[in-house]
Amino acid sequence: MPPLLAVRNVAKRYGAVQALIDASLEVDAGETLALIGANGSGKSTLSKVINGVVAPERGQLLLGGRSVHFDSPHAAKDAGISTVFQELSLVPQMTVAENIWLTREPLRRSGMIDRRTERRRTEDLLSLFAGTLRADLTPDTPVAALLPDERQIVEILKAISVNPRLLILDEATASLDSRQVQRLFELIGQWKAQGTAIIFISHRMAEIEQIADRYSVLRNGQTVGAGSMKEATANDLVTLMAPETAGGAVERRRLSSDILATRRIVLQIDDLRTSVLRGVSMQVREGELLGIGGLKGQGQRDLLLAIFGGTPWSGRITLDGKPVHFTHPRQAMNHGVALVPGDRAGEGLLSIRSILENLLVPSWRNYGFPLQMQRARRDASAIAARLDLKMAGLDAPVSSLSGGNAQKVVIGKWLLRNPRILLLDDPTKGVDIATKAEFYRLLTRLCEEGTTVILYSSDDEELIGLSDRVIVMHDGRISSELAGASLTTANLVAASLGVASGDAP
Amino acid sequence: MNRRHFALFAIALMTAALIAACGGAPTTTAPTAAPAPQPTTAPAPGGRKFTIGISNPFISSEYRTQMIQSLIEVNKEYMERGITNELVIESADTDVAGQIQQLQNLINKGVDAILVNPSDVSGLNDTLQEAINKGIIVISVDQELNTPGVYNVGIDQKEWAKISARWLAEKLGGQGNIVLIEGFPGHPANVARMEGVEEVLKEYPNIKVLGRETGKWDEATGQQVMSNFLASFPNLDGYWTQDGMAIGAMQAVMAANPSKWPVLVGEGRCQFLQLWDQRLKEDPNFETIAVANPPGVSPTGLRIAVNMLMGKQVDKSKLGGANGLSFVIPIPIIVTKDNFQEVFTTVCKDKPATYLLDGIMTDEEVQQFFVK
Amino acid sequence: MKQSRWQQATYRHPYLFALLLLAVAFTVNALLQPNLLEPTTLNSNMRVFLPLILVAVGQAIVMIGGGIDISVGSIVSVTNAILATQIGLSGDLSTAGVIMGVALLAGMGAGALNGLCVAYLRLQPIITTFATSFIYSGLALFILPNPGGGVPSRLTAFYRETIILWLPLAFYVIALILLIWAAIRRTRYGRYLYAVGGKADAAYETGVPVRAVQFSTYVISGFMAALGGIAMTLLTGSGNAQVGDPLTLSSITAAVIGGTPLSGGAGGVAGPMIGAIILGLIRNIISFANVATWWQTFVNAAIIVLALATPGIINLVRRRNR
Repeated sequence: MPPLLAVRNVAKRYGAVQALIDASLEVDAGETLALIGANGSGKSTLSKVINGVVAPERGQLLLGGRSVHFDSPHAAKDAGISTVFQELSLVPQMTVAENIWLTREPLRRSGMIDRRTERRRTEDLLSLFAGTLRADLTPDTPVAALLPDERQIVEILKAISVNPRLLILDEATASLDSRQVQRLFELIGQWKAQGTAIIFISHRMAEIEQIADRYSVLRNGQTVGAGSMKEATANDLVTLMAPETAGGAVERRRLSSDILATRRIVLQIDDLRTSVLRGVSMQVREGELLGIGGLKGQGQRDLLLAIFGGTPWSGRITLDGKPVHFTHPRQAMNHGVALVPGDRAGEGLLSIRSILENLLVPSWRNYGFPLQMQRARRDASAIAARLDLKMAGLDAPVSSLSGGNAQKVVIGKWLLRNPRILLLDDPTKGVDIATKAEFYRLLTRLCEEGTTVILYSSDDEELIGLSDRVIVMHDGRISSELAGASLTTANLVAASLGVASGDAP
Repeated sequence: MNRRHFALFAIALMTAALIAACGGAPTTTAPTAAPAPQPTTAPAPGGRKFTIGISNPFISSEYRTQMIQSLIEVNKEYMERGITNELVIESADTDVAGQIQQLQNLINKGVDAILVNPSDVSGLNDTLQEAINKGIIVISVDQELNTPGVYNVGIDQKEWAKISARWLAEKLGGQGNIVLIEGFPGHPANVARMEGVEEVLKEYPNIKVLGRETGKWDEATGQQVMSNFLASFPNLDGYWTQDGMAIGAMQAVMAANPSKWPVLVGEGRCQFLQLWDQRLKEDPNFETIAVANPPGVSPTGLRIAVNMLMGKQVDKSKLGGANGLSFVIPIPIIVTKDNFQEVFTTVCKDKPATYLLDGIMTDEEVQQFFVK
Repeated sequence: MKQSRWQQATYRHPYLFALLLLAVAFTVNALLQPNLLEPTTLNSNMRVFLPLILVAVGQAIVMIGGGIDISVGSIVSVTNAILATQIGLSGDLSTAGVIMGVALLAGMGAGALNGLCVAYLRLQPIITTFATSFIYSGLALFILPNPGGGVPSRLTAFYRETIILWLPLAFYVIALILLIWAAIRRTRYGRYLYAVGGKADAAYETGVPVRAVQFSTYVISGFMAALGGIAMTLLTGSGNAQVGDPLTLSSITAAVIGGTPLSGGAGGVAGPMIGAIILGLIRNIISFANVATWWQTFVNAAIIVLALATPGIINLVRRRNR
């Protein structure tokens, strides 16, 4: 008997990025398959291929042994495939009941919506999570009034309300609390018993171990392993996801902890809390390159923003021994703290304006009124030379630069202000390897000159190669700190997934 | 919660304060539906005091501003004599439905007479009929309405246009090439005026009309249209135009300054007389004509209304118009070279440039319309 | 995130604030004008408000669906031009009925053009309907270049003077609209309308026919504008190709006062109808409060701005309070 769903040799490319090269999986009725992989391994793309959001370039989908093509999410839904999206598909202005039953409202013979039936069915669905939801959450509560976890549950209920043959849970547990996750797992058990197949995508290794029957591992767009969970340990999976690689493009000599200990503490943070952070404490020393790792959205960005005064926080931040509390980025800038945003095009650069203007945007007020253009031009030229910027001239538009050189302009404009602490928010996302290498050399030189760098990156190799030390964040906290010999890719992946580290050879 | 209620309360209070601040004490005249006796403090000579309402749907024009101001002044005269109460003025930029509401409110306030400057020639008919049925005297000013029972007070638009057209034709010696700049095509006043112009020109077959275009009763448009005409017809002998556009047209001629100026027609506004004066300094032989279109027809209408309310009998033989209910007001001022200096130095002396040459009939003068 | 009781109530009944405002405006008006409650006075007010009420309902439906319709005033003018020229002052009642049907179809046609551009060609609603408004007002001028024409006085008398059981005709029209709206809200179409206006992407993912729903809102708006045009023609009894122009902005104002946000996905039609009545009552209040002539426009605008700003002010105070 053929499996309920088989995906064979699927490939998908987004522009220059090959998201999937050769991905395959099989899932049977009544079983839970864990789809796992590191950041950017292609998990989400694969789930979108299955639920019809994206069309694959190669490969085929077999549903019950028959080849199928979905040209819309709707087509997949009609075939019994229902997805709990990461990006929520609820209409905030409408109520819980209205959202769950949208397009499938129970009708009376007159064509009017049978609101009593709709309400009752919604209550039945809500009762699945009874006890983990607040008591005043009714079918008539507008979704806009729900908390993130409640919205996620409504999303799950909406997906299950169609009685699917295959349910895809894409990071569905990310915003749920532990009781809600347990309830979801009990329900998954029931649905399995009724013959529903489930594809479970999660970063939490503990959950995967608890709920999955089988696993399928993706690495760089390729399926590198599959099997029964009973026959695999967490460490096996981690090794499949992130085998130890040999350095790569990154070459930087780490500062040993002995040398670091002699350096001055530039930034000290105690019990930092924001809406996301739940008590973060750390120290950074002069000339140190501190990496921040972990799964996406665990509070890394918030940490950088809080230091920069871009989000309200409580706790204590000490800069050069003096307590500070920035409430606006301008104050941070005046104290020599600079933040380079990750979204180069959106936040960092005015692409149609000249390189000169872009470099000077944060510093114009240092050049008086009227502007001392000659001095400004001289300073900008010096920075361009220091960055080894390859350009036609300072007056050429930024859009004429290559991606790597444009990225240098983003950093260069902060260097003009001589920052002592440089905060980097995933700076090499979508940057080619040659540019990355050049960028790494720049960071290395800056550290040697005494600048302190705090780097958040979603690229694990980059973190390992560049950082003197890496803190791993999980759920708004620092879950572990890696330095020296323990700073390896496997340990980083394990720490990110919440697997106990240490027994790697 | 408390704070929120406070905010609501504050807003309500502010609204009330706003109305009070701008309107003074609310309703000094008790509004009642029926035209019952008005509350009067002292008996007036003619018995009780009368209340007169104004409905004006268009503001922001000098004509209307001057009209409202002189209405208030003339009514003051009657108030001092104890004949009328304060005017009830409904004046705002609004559409036909809005003017219907204005009229209904006047009816509801129990006015004895309504002066209306209509925004639409027939859209108000039913509402005006209701007022008449309630015994209210309705007078349309400035714009003639062909509604049974509604009196009209205004100048004869056709005759008004004929005066300047005839002057132009004679000045040209009965021959030459001219152009016409008209107001809104289709607007009743414009239609009547252009009929008058055509009647005059029929008598002078050697005058050729080269072009006719609308200046939309707007100074800037008038100037633009005239500039185009001057460029197309360099040997223009003269042009005829009317209210609001004559200043712009003459400015266009001044800017072009052709070797031979066309014979031109002006308008009854102090600003035009200033241009005239300016031109005289360059060309002492310059002459033109300015025929007043007086906003004063409205206060004259007020006088007629008061006299009717006091029980005087209208002499129907003196009335004209389409429905035989029109009081035709003579043109108060025609400025030519003969009286230019006098008008310019006296009437326009202490008036703003926007002032329209005006004339309001006195109470004695309006007696000619009533049976002695 | 927990909602206050006021928020919950306004979510369920978006017209609540408008109703409060109506109570205030009505009380003030009634104090200044004691005979306001008499059937004839009530009738004379409501018959003037009705054209705007009808247009505002259509506007509100477009706004709930996430769009906006700047062409409603011009559609009113076209309707007026058609009726005034085709029925005529001496026309008989059966032709009048046919012509009214034609006018309603014309309104729906105009709405369909708007809907086509916005829903299927994906053009900006505000620009598109602004542009088409010139087509419609040009058409109105073409049909009726000079003010004139009209409808028989029997028809206007019916519109102006019908009072059944002390209540003016307008009340029955409003009641009928509320009834139909209540039914629509209980159909799938009603749900789709709010889903499309609330979050079109989510609605599309769920399988809602987003474009068809957007298209339909403009057709409904065209229909309601034509209905408003018929009411306007019966009120004035005559033709004027520019009669509807001022209704466009008033209809948006009425909808917003009535709790329909420009962002879409919320509101209803009861609020906008109340909003239209409030706008009319404000004019009455100014009239009966004897506001000095030169201040009338200012006071009118100031009260409208205040009415529009009040929910925002309440929110601001609430946030400060937190």
